Amino acid sequence: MADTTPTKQSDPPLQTLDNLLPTSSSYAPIITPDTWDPESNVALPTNVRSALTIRSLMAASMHLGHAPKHWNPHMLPFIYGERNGIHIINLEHTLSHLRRAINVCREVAFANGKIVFVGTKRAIHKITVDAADRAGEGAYYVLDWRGGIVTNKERVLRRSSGFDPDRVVQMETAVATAQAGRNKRGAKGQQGGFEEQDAGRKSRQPHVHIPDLMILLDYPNTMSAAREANHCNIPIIALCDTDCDPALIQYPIPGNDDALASVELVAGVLSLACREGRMRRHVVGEKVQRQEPRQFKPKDEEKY
Amino acid sequence: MSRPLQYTRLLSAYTRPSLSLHLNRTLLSPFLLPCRTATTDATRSQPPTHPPISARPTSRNFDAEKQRPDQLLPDDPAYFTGNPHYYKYLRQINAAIRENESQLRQLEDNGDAQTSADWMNLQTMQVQLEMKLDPTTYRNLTEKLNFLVPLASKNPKIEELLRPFVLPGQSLIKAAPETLTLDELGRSYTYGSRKRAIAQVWMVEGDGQIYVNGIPMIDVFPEIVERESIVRPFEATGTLGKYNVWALVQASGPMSQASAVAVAVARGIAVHNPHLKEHLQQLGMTTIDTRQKERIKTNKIGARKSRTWRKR
Repeated sequence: MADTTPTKQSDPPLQTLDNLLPTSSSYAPIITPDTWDPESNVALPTNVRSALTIRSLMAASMHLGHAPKHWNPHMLPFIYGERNGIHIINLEHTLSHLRRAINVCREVAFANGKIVFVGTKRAIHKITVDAADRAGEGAYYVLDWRGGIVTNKERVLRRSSGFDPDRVVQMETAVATAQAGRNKRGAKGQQGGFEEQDAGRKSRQPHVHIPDLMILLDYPNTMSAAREANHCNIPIIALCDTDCDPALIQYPIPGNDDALASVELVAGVLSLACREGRMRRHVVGEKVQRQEPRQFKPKDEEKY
Repeated sequence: MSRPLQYTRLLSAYTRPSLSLHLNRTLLSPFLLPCRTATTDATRSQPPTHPPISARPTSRNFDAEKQRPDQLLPDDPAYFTGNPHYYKYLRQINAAIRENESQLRQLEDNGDAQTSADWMNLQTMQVQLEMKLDPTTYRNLTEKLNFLVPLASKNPKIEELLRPFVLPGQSLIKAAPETLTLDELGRSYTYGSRKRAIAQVWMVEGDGQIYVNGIPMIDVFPEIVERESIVRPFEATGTLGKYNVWALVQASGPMSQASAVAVAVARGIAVHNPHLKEHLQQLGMTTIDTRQKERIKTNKIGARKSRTWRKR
């Protein structure tokens, strides 16, 4: 079925959690690469979804938790039991949570979201960077979470945005005091004008981005990242082991966070999901370009 | 179980009446597109409109100027690290190391690996290349750069990669220090110092005369200790009585002046006999003693000595 009802071009979608939630596109039927129509508004076929079985999760040692004495009781629903001195994670939950996370990734990417893969352990640096590269456009990596990346973004990301707010104020203050010293009339003008200067500096501050979705690959080491994301209403997908508290995480994936195979599997499928969302976005964009845009009129509501 | 406030806020978002209505509609008719819904309850707020999928702006069909700033994606995947230039350089360096792995292993086996170059220091690198560095990161970075230096002369791409880490105008490889030689009259000119004393010494092959400030050494340095220190380099190298020494020394006292001359004499022997240079260096005779007189501090009589202690 073709989509023939665009809204006004002047109303961009709100960058809120509502718009990042899965829509009817997520309930598309599973199709094979042979029968997939690129023109259609359905998800690309991936081998990932069919390859995700409990057997493959177990092969990646995702079921291996930590020793029972180190557990977090909040992980009780996800624990299958105890064996050989460690907790075993219930892979049925892992599979369902992983599928949900895949959907979230795909839809966020489709909605032009910025997805950040966070992996601070040295052993998973390469996994994190490769995941961001694989996901392509709109995916980023952070290998060392510095406090304030989200909550103090103007300062912490000043090298990324190319604008240092503190340096500009210092330069302006130095100029202002020098001018005030030379000219008394100038001094009077500057007294009232400092607020104007401040406003001018604020207006010159370019926009600094915040992530739309964060994927934490070693959650116990990046609690500050989780707290910052919660503070700024950014959804988090995180790989939660038996010693983690999933309360801060919106889309936890119960699984082993110590084995490289486990982390690589999760990072890999999520990055493919992001790429899938982006590719669908391009496909849909091309289709829209070919059509004549029609103005959305209120009386058309009666059809729906 | 208790949840923090943020999570409950998010949970409530899932259970908002508008959202549940939307979900029910899609479950009933999968072909129904999300749109504005009419509510019978006047107190409930209007649900948010979900524009149809086809109308959402995409990266290909939008005009960049008309878009909001948060819809334009940053290009650099290291944007959120806050240190994009460091990661850009690091990835280039890692790629270069991986590309030339076989050559580097060969160099390592031969023992020619890790030539150090004149890298910028940490502060300069931070400012020039707009990176955030700490001592550990700087050390690791320079170690990686050192790996690639032997390949730079053959590979222009690697040379280009390493160029930003050296001050502009400076060569990549440290120049070998200039070797001192004898002048046209067969004299060596060397320098030594101790405390405030500075000695300039000219040495030429002769019969062992030593003149200090135009006066024979015996008359300048009455003490045996002072004369012994000057003669010691000759004794250590077996060159006693083979060279004439003309020394000019100023400042400080006799012992310091003698030590300054001794260092300069040792260096002169090294110039005349390069094969003895390492031996003299091992003995420490060519090294200038950098210790200086410690300054007097406030509320003290000397550098360390305190004022008389009073009980009350």
